Amino acid sequence: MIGSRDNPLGKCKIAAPRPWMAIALAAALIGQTAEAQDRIPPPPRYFVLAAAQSDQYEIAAAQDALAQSQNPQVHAFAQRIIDDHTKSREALRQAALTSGLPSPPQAMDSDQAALLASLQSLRGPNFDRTYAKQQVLAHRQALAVEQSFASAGADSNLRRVARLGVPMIQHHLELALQMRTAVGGS
Amino acid sequence: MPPETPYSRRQMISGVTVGAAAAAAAVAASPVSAQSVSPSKGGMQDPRTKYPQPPFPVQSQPWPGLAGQMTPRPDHGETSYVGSGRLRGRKALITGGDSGMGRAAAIAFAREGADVAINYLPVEEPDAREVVALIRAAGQKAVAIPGDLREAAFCRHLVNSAVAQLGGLDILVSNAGHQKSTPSMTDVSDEDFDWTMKTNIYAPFWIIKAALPHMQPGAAIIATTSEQAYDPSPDLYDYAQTKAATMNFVKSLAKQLGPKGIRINGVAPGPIWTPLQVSGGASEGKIVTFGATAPLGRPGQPAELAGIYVRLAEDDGSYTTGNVYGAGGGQGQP
Repeated sequence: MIGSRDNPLGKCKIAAPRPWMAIALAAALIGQTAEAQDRIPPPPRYFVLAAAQSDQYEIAAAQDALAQSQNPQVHAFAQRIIDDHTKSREALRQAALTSGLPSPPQAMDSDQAALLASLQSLRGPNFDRTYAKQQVLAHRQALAVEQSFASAGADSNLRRVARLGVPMIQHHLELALQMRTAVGGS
Repeated sequence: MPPETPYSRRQMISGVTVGAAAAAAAVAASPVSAQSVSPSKGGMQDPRTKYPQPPFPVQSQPWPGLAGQMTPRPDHGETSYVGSGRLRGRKALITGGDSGMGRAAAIAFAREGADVAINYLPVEEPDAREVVALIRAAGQKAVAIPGDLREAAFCRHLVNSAVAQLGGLDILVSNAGHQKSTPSMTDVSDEDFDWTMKTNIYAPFWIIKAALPHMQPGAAIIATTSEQAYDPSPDLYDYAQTKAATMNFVKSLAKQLGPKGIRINGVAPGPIWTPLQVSGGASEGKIVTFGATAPLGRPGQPAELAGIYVRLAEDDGSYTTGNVYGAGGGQGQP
């Protein structure tokens, strides 16, 4: 089947627009459990931007999955994502306002848009496998950013949001890994 | 509905009978506010929230789909486009003029003073009737010529009939297209491939060939290409290559027709909310998140391309030929 043997890291291009993200990403992608305090956290407004973009992308991809997938496990995952990220988006918005930062934009970044665009073209088992693969990758990336800000972010208010976000993302990552196994992804 | 600026043109005209005469009356009644609300004269709206954003309801229609049955209904400029005589006295034929970008062009052309013939498939009659009524409400002649462009004989009949009923032809918009999303090219049947090639490549060949003998210096041809010409989606293997061909023939014909005083240009839309998408052109999941990948975060509406078609048709655009104008929401080329 086309796509099923692809290396997910090779196929899904995730660039690192900022140095701190490259460090966080590198740790996430090679599966290291680097100590949180070793990481360089993003500045607060970049954390807000990255978290808001993750929320936006996660929700859009899950909406795509609810409409496109026939797999009950994929449906359950997608619904969970929409519910949780709708809440985290609101918590982030409130925290940003409290910290005197502008309300985060409802937009994804261009790499996430490329992932969503590639997902939009698929159907059936190929859709499920690609969605699961992308979700594992996206949550590893989001976890890296969230953990680094939770440990050493410069804004205590946003740090609290990040600390609450870490277990949510960890749980989503576990679910995504289970989903990837269930749909036969690699 | 998305929020709008207090003095948007849309709100100003709401409640007024649609049509050029009504719009002209509104302008005459309050020239100052009319000036302040015309987008070309300083009106401003947030492009992210000007029109509906995803998610959209899951929906599908049998090909070719009707704009009137889409949720939300696309905006082709029915209540918003205000003309200013930019195409006065011109005679236009638009294929696929019942919905989508073709419909937006038909409404705009009529309000700019052109007589307009539209072609569409017979099953698209409900959409086409609305367009005919809008053209007539603008005070212009409307000609409806239903038929399938996959037949050479019909394409020739279409041009001859339009020329006869309009009394000439100096704007041709080759816009009708067939698009069917198929994830694997091994699942593209010979019949589907032929359908797409006939509609998107052969028909423009037959129609332009038949139209040219009727076109005088100053006439303009506009072909609808796509962002797909430059950055194809994997599930649009067949459609995307026809749009690359369209982009290409715009450039070869510009070289042929420049010395004859006839201009030809292309329009390259990004993701636009049209029946083509909900009738097999895109997967259901893509419909729900349609336009979410664009930096503006939403699909374009046909009305947002109307001004491009007018620009490429009007005499003020006289040095523009062999070019492709885009409306991509921040993604794609050209």
